[in-house]
Amino acid sequence: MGLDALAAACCVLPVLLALLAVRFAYVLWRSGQPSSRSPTAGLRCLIVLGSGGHTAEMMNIVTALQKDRFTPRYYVAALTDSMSLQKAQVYEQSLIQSGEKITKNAHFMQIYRSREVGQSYITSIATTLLATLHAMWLVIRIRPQVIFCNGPGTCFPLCVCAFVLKVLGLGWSSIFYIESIARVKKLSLSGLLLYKLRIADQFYVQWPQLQQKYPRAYYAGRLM
Amino acid sequence: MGEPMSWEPMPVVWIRTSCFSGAAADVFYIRAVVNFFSLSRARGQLARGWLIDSPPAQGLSRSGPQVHLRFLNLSLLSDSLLPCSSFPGGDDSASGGAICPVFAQPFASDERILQMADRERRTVFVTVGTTCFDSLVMAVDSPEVKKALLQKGYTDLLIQMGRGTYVPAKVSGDATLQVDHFMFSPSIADNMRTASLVISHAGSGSIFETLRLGKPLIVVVNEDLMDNHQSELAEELAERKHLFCAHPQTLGETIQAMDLGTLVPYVPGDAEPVVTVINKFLGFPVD
Repeated sequence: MGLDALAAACCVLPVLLALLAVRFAYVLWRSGQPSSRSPTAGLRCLIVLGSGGHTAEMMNIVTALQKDRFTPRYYVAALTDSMSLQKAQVYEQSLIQSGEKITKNAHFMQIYRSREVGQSYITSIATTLLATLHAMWLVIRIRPQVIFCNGPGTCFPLCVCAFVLKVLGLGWSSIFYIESIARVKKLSLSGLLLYKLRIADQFYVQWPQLQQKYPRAYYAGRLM
Repeated sequence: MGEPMSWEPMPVVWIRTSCFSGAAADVFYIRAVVNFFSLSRARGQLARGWLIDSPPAQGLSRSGPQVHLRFLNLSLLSDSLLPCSSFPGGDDSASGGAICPVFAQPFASDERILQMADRERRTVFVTVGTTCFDSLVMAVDSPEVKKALLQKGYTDLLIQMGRGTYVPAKVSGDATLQVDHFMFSPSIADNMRTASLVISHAGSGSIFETLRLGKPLIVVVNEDLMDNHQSELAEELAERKHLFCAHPQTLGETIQAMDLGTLVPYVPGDAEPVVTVINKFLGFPVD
């Protein structure tokens, strides 16, 4: 009996792995493809904010977004960063005041950071694990259809988790990564990983010389 | 004289001083007031008392108005009121600089005020944001840099020192460069607006805020930072002649050598093209 189960597992496991590999390849290919159908309702957006100029750039994008197409909006920032969410809250409040539809379509959430500045490497293994689990929890809860991020460290685990859900067939999201304007010659670590791993559906840079270095990136002008 | 600070809906003229603050605010404010009176007099009118700053709810400015309104004796009466638009620069983003040249002859009601108003202030605002950048604060506090600033005609040096530990000495007095400092302020934007020159750390927030205000800017790169990608942005913008880029040791030379006329105004970017491509990708119809 035990042997039978083992034999069965030996047969089934490779099949499962093969299926997963095929699915993985399909998701990789499909991720870069533009959608052929026009969405019928608003898309659930996950917007990743971050200190050090990231939020200002991201809010410029949010301002330009068509609010009826990109709704509801979930803003996420690091737990230690209260300023960023405040800025987003002020903006969303101004939308309500200026007479846009008054529905509760903005949500604000905080996420654990994988590593604080100056934290030791040994403890950061544990905190990275915690941050990734938290990111997974957030992505499962939000089930975003669109993800906007521009480089704070918190965006990497979120994008990876969203990608894993895509591979597992538990939800589909389009990931847009817009590299920060502060990056003129080199990509940030988050940007480099998302570019190399092809997790981002579309990858934007804000300087033409960076686009020449990373040909799969788009250059569509500066945000600031 | 009555208490001038009431916020009754009784518009005389709005002089928004919310964009002025710090040491320069007093002078700008007095200028605005003096010029307002001279304008009224030139038109054969007497201004009615209330000069209104932003109502308190909108964040009344910190130092100036109350104090100065008192010794300006504003309870003069007039029979006609000036609308906002008749006062150049009195509407919306009034810049103290823009108001002044319009009226050459201020209303000589108070010699002391006129003396203050006549002194041309040119402030250099130094900001390190939320960082700790002692080498920059030390550099601007050095005799070499101060001398260079004086030579260039600057009169005030205001330093936002953030989390730094080096505290420059405050200097006041007419003869030399006046130095003042503070750690943090919620109204750094105001300091930038009143400044004639901004010296900033290389954070993208400070850089673009200053460029949007159209102020001459020297960015000083912090070499002590480990991952110094910030210098990339400053160097690129310096190459495009939107600002000057310096290091703490070279700040003095940069100030001496700088020619503000060579700076090219920065045209702010636009998120619209990116959003258009994103819309297309998601299958939304193009507007």
